[in-house]
Amino acid sequence: MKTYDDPELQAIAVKLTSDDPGIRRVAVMDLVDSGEPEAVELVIHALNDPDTNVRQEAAKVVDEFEAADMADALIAALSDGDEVVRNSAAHALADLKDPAAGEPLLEALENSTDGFVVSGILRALKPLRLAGAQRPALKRLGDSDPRVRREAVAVIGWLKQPENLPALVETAQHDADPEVRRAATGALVYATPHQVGQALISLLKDPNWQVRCEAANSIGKLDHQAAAPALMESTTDELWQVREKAVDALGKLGIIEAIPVLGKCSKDAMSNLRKAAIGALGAIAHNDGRPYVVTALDDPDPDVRKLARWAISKLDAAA
Amino acid sequence: MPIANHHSSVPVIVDEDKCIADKGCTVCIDVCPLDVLWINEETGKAHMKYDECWYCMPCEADCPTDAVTVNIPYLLR
Repeated sequence: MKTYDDPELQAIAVKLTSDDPGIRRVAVMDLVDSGEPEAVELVIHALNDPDTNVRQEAAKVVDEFEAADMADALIAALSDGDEVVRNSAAHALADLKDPAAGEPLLEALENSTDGFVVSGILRALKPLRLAGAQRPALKRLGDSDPRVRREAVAVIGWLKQPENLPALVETAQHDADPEVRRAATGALVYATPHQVGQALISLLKDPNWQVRCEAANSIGKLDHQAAAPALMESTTDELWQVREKAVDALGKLGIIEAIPVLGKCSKDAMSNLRKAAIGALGAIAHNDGRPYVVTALDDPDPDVRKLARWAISKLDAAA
Repeated sequence: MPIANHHSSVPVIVDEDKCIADKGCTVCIDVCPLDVLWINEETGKAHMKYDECWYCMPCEADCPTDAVTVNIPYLLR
């Protein structure tokens, strides 16, 4: 067995060779406090321990250490038999954000087929924003596993390349999984309104309410003025969550014609929606909205009343 | 600080089946700001030696095996 100069690390190394998995597990926990660079070797060793608890503990502490030395061991841990270890390894890889891990990650992506592993690798690749990740991510948009498609969308969204927009729009509109559609809808915000505006408007009618929320959100972020009529229609959506996002977006866009529908929402039974409506009326700061805001000063919900006072100040400032 | 001679109703309860203090773990003892947790010489497990607690909770939250339970008095909840 290798010996270490640092007495503390040496003591941990000895414990890691114990027959008792409990002692090995506690030794891994102690590794975190060791400042020695050589501790990394022991973590990698523990990642390959025969006992699941020890491997789980090792996977938990990996982000305390240098990424570059660890990437290979973590990628190997992505194919561990235990789901908790795989999950921790994927999360640790995602947290590393070390460009040095980029090449091994891309290589592992090429060679992996398991949906869980592939999505972990993609999640780790996302913050690195490597140009080399574009082609494999586009390919994975057609994967049969929705978790993989979801992460592929995220990678492409972070790359912010205009040439990827058609693929993202296609995914947002036609993917079978609502969570993938929602992610793609949110990722479209790096485009210009004329590139994706029409698609976002059509997504306001998606059968899944979270996609509809995200579409309203994205329209607001893009300041897509032409979407105002569609947003006004969405203020009568069957779900208040969607109505709320549509109302928010109308406020961001500053649509004066929307004041009557916003006023209607400011009398909704759901206080979150009333709050959003008063917020939007304050953001638009047009005098036509004043009667609704004044009424809201006596709202039963204190949050709404607070926002109404803020809206009045905006109206007064604009007058 | 009063010493608890019998463990009738101290607020910090350690499940001895789960506790791995006998394997060298001292997480709860290290995080306790009042230093009231100790290792029981007989069993090697952690226990509350001094009946004094701020109910700050890190011992329960950080325990790697979820062996620690802090019973917060009703009036503090």
